[in-house]
Amino acid sequence: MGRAVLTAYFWAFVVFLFAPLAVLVVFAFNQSMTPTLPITGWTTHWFHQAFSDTELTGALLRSVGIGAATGLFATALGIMASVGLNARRLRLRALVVAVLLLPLVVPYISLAVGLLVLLNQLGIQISLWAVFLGHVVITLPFAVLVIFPRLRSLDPAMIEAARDLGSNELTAFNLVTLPLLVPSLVSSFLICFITSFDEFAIASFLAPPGQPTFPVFLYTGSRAPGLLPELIAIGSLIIVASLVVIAIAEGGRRWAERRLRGITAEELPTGQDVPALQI
Amino acid sequence: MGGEIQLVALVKRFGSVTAVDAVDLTIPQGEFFSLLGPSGCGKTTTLRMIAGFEQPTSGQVLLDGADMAGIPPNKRNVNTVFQSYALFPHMKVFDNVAYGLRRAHVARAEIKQRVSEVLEQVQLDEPLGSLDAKLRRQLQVELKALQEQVGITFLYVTHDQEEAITMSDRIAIMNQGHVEQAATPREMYEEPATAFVADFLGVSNLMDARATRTSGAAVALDLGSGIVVEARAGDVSASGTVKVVIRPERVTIEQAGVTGPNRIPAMVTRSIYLGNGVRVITHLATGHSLTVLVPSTGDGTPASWEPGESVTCHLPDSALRVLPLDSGAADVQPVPAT
Repeated sequence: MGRAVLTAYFWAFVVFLFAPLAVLVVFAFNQSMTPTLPITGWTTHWFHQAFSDTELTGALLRSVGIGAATGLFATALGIMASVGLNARRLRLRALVVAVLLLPLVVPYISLAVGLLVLLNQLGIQISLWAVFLGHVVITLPFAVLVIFPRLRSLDPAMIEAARDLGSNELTAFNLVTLPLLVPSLVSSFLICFITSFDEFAIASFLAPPGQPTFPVFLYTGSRAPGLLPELIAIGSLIIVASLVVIAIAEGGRRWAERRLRGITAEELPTGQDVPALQI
Repeated sequence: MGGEIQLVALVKRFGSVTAVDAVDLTIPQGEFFSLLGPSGCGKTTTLRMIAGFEQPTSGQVLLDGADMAGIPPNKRNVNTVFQSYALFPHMKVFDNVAYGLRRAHVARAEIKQRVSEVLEQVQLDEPLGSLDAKLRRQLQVELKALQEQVGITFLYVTHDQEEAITMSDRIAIMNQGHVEQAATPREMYEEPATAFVADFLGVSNLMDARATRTSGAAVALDLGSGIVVEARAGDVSASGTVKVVIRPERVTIEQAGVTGPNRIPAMVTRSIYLGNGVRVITHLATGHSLTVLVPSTGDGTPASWEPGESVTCHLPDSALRVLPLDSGAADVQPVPAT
């Protein structure tokens, strides 16, 4: 009885999550202009039309570009912030953490308006750069939340060993800390990329006229009925692309963790103390 | 070649906790020196200050006479073996071994040759977890031989006293941030300077006593119940309340009724067969409990003493050592329970 309920609940959950996505993919191949049942026939026409629509592909490329730049920059900042947070002594640690994570709880729309006003005051014209900056602000907390725990979990003795063997702080960081952070850096990049790619509020305020990002283009386009089939086709492609990226990332993460597991401290017998030091 | 380590009034405080409290030590080049002590005694912090991972609150670390203040670990001519081994999991075995050589800008061909030589001596299919007690002892001897052969200074931090005694030229026993005593293993064992050292290293019988009369090289000690013994080792000029210590193997058990100086009537409470001898725990007429180690005799049969048997314990005056009452003695149990 209990098991039947749980099973039913599980499948209801799956349907709730994936039905909209499945519907999107099905209608992408629908011959009719309107996404309604019954389906009258199958076609790949909308994909062809979407890719020959330069406005659409332009918006898509803009979003991919901004997403990639955001992912790289936010991840780089996230590494620096995590190193700072990992310091043994840090004044006002709680305040620093609060400031870093603040964008998580501030509505994007407020940030967007604030950025717009600020740029106006500074006399800077809104541009795709402004969108990029806004996206770095909102994705930095994700980068820190992904990278910092990984950094924290590294055995400090590993970095000390590198220093002991003649590396200065920078070399030890580059040769030991950074390679060990790689799995978290990949995760951070993907999360920041997706967040930026998906973001509408900031982009709608800061993207200059005629240069919409993909979500902005989708929003304005979805009100023009003629565009809808194209948008559905592109939307279903993005879903498939996301699944591929996630599968690759997860596979990569597992591979990296298997490789990094190697011989680690907890698998080895240890005494109570640092055994020896020699001159 | 060098390799002398000198610690001058070294202090390390973490907040209100003093981890290392005014440590002075000189470790000459080529010595195998062990820091021994209970957890939290400051031995690891001392090591970390020498390696450069911690900055002293005050005092100095001198390596070959050069003050190391502000010198980072990579600029110090010391190398640490970490408890966790600190192998780099993202590097191959070869690269792990080659790491230090590369940082020292050794030529590629030489790195390859030296790493290969090292790896030839490593049995990679032998998991380190199977290092049993026997193999461990064997490795200790080899490590010591290697150290002597290469002539480098070793500073070994351990809580394993057998390890420290086996390998060290000298040992320092630390307690609550300060050095209780620094000496050769033999001196440390035979002539402990404090009750803490006597109790920490090996098995000791520690008793409270009152020094009643000093006469040159000997002091009369009242152990209570009107029983007085003479001691000729340690601080024989002491007066008032003192600690007196004797090692179990220095006590001899005689038949009940034997009288003479330094002989105390006792009753056997437990007798534990050890293989190479018998550990007999006795209850002295003074109320103290005294552990005696009776070695096996030539024919392989240790004298047997049964619980409940009345005996006489002989505590030779040359083996009775008078120690000053120190603060470290506060957390020392008077006599081991078993």
